[in-house]
Amino acid sequence: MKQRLIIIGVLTVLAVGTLYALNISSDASGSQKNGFIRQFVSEVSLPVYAELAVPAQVIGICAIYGDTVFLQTRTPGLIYYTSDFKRLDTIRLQIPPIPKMQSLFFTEVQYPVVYIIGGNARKVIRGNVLKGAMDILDVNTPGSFSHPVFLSDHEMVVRCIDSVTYDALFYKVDLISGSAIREQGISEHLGDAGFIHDGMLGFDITNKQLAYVDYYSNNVTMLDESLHLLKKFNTIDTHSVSGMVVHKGKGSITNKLPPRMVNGINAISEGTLYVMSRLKGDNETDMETVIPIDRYNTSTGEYVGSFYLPFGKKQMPLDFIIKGNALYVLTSSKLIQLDVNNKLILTKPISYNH
Amino acid sequence: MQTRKIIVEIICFLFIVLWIPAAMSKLMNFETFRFQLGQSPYIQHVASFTAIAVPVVEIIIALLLVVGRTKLLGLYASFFLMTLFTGYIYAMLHFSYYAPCSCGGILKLFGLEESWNDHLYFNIVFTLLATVAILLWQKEGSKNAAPYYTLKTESYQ
Repeated sequence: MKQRLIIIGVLTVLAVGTLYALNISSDASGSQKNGFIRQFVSEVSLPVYAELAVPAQVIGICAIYGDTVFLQTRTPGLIYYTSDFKRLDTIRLQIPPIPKMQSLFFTEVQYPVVYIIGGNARKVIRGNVLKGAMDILDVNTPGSFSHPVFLSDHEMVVRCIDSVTYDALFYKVDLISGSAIREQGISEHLGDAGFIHDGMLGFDITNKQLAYVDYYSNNVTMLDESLHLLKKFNTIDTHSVSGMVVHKGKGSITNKLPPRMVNGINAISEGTLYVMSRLKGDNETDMETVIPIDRYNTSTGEYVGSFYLPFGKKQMPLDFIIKGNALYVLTSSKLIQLDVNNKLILTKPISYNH
Repeated sequence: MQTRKIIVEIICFLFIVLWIPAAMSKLMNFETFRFQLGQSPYIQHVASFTAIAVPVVEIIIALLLVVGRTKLLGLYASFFLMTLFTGYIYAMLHFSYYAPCSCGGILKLFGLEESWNDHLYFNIVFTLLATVAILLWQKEGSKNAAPYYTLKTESYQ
């Protein structure tokens, strides 16, 4: 018996050693140096104003009007909202059955108007929660789309994957006429179904600028409302080439290698872009209990310092929005309001080199 | 003693039922399996080797478990491979920057959902089963072993 226990122990050590060797040789945990220094504008954790438990089916923040936060769920037409961070109330639109709507949809709230945007269905359901009126609008893009961002009550910009060429391009959609105008010379025609330069699109209503931040490289593209290029700049890391390598098979496109995420979700407000970085700075040791948010001046592209969200990977944000002096963060279980007032002001820009 | 032997035999049978379909599934969908391993942050650099080695080793272990004399060796090998897989899944869940969706469909055979968490629990159970079987295993013909057959002794006048 003793001999067998010893062998079991030795085999366990061997198995752990094999895994350790795999980890060292592959850097699967992402612990290598990334060639940049993160500079912090807040010495202390941002104070939490309020927080509220949310159901697991809440997946995004639709909008904030005054004190009211509207939340998107996994069910089209079901929207939660809270005005006091004490309880959640519900808006439920009885939407008609539309093929492919459930598979990919987004919710936009311009209270009292709610938009349910079907990326695969290429339809927008527009409902007025006060009047009870509802209509269905066509989106004439040449394929499925994602990342819809509203410029006004009838115009939105989307990232569309052409169903013939599989190119991912920006389109400006007019919901009244149904027309979709394609960008010119902004995105590369890669035929990759949007994998390589997948990212997140945001709109700064103050400066009327769109920002598209790549997930797998450090590229940031600034556009105006007519989809003209304003500026391109890089986030502080050194990953200028996309960490997404695709495999084009028969009728399918998928990632060939594990994609290395550089930047996560982001938000843009009053000329500042807030990017949730997925990379550790060379001057950092802990990425388990905190999440860094890097900030950029959208006019100049300059990095203007970072701050930490005071929670770690276990509460990875699904979405966040900056509104005035408040930062609203949605995790899989909570909606959290943090105070960013006067905590993030830099006296001079931080220089960094690529 | 008979109970111990039955438990060991049942566990060996469960492992054979596990290893053979798992290996066959990987070999029959070899390109897909190799491709999916290439998506794993831990294995991408050794994906081609691992794609061949894993099903071959699984078949060898299953054969070891079939033959009475090599059963204990098969159980040790099962324990090692299960510990390796369990650690790998734990690392994918907790430390990896990316987790591809792949488990070869083996969980469906046991009526489970195909998620990384289910796979982790499944592997922990099988690692424990291998440990139990190793500790309960009795060498054939040893003093404590139950006889596989009874010799009839006859006396000749």
